Amino acid sequence: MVNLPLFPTTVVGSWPRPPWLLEALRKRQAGLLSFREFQEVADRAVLDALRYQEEAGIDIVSDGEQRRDNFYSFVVEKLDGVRLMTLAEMLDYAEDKTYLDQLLRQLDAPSYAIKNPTAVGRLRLKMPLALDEAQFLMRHTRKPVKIPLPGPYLLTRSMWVKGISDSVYPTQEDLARDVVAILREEIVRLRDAGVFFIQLDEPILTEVAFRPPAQVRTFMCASLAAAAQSPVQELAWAARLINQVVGGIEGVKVGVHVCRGNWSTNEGVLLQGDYGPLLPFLSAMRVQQWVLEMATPRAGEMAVFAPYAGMREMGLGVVNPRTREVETPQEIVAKVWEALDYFEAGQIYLNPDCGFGTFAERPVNTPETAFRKLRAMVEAAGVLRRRLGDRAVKAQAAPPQAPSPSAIPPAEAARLVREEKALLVDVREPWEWEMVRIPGASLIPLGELLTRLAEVPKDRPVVVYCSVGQRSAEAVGWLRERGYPRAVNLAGGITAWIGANLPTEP
Amino acid sequence: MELNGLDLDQLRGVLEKIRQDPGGVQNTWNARVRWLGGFRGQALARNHAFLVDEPGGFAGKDTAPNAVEYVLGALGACLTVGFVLNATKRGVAIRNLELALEGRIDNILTFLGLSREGHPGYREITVKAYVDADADDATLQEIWQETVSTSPVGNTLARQVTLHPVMVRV
Repeated sequence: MVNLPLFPTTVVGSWPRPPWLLEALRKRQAGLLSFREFQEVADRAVLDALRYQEEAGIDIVSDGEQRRDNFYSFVVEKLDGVRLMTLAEMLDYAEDKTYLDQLLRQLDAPSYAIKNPTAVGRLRLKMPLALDEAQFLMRHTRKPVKIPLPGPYLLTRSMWVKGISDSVYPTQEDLARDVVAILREEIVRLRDAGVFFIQLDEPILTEVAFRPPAQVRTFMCASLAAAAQSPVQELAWAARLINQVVGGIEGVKVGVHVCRGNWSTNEGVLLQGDYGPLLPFLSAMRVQQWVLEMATPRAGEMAVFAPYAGMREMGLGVVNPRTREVETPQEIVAKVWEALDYFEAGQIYLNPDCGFGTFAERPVNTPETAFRKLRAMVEAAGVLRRRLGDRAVKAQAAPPQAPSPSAIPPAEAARLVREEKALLVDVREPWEWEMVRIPGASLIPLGELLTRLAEVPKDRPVVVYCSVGQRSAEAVGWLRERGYPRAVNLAGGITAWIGANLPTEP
Repeated sequence: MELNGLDLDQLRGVLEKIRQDPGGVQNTWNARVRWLGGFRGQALARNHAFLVDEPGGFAGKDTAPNAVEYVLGALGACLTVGFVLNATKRGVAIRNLELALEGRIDNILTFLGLSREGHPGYREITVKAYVDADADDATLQEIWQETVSTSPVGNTLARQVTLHPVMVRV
């Protein structure tokens, strides 16, 4: 078991690549370097990236993703059945060419320079996705390591292109099955190799949740076809895929990382919005940690975490990887102080909002500034540890809270509704109801419950739910005091319901 | 010997022939446009045909680019030809070339008869060329300058063309 100090510091993954590595990457992509030859160049870059982190005092280090062209398309080197195709090659298959042109304008790039890993055949592992990265890194550091992996939703959405992939995988779901199996095996393999922290990157969830205008979408919301499903269905699907990947795997910390774009230093072209619309789904994912942006104001207010307080560890984004000015330790401490309203001290990790070089050719900062930002983070962690006591915490997720006697798990709730005609009462707000709800439920926001009791019959069981089970616990208390002995709370709320793969609408 | 997909001997031959007999080179070009109903039209040029339409937002059927988009396409295509010609003449190999164009109409209301201000043509057109080629920046910059200044469509747009419109009842 790894012993970490309070407020462990870490990175999201990528580090700016040196010019000689980029040159080698170009040669590799042009077929002028073998895989082995490229790896030898990348070894040196990894050691440099590692030295920056160790000198800054980072507790959980990464290899800076130096071996990758970016955080997800690197899988083409590791998988049969995937080919890096340029947007130029894919244009003929794109259903929405206008969108692609807008995208390229926004990126200020030609279609031949943008590449997407595309499923062109059945996926088969040529070699493990990131085991080589992990083993090299662990040979050169004594610190616990983090390995980022592209999440199952990102990989499926980017790799499945209509007209190209459907001869092998008729639907995205078909491709997702193979993606899930590959990621699941990889996580077990990395765990067995001694990796401490595996981070699943799912940046396009924000794109789905915020449904941005075309001019600020990124090309990652790939598949080039408009999503067939509603955002809520897409997000619920993403949560199910994550759960299929991680379900039942123990002995390694798994986190999920979400951001609003990290391909430009112009904050104006990146997405904006708080975590409110995402949290029902993030909290349905059976991961131990959320690795989230909080330094950029575009991530909104932390108050949206109130209903989800303490549900997961928080990898708190405290420095913006894209800005030149370095955050002061005081600013970072203040940010963490705010997070302590919603998370226990032992649940909070400090990290930048995102990587410093998500895309090899488009680093968002220099190594020097990135180093100073990490340094500020480490100093802030020191201040916080002195303030809150330097007690070591076991770096394991807290055990889930036992449900209260009046709370029942999703399967039991479904049975009550089905067999005993229980009334389902949703005590959330109308906007939450519109996003996702359980079929057949009645909406009575908590604030209206006591004035609308006439709508709640006393001769049937009543199952009350909210997002995560806190508001509904209060509602059940009220109901029981008012002659509803059969009122019960759906433990974990609709979040747990979604996690149990039970039906929702719309 | 081939460079950039062009046969160098053939290219040299063409240039030499034109140098020796400048009068023999084609300098008049024709097109014919047939109305197909609605805002749709079919343009014929030599043995080629292409469609022209308007977007749904302008009451068209959106089956093809509209005329002002063809202007941008024509300019981009012309600059592409020029760039490849000039690069090839210097022996520069091009791996990739892509042009992004954007034209801003001076006052579209004038076209619709809703205003008398300004004019309904492009006020300005920006062109951005993305190049991936084996040459230093200065050489590529020279090729680009030369391409722009000698572009037939570029010159058509940047200078005043004398239009001779005539209508005939048949």
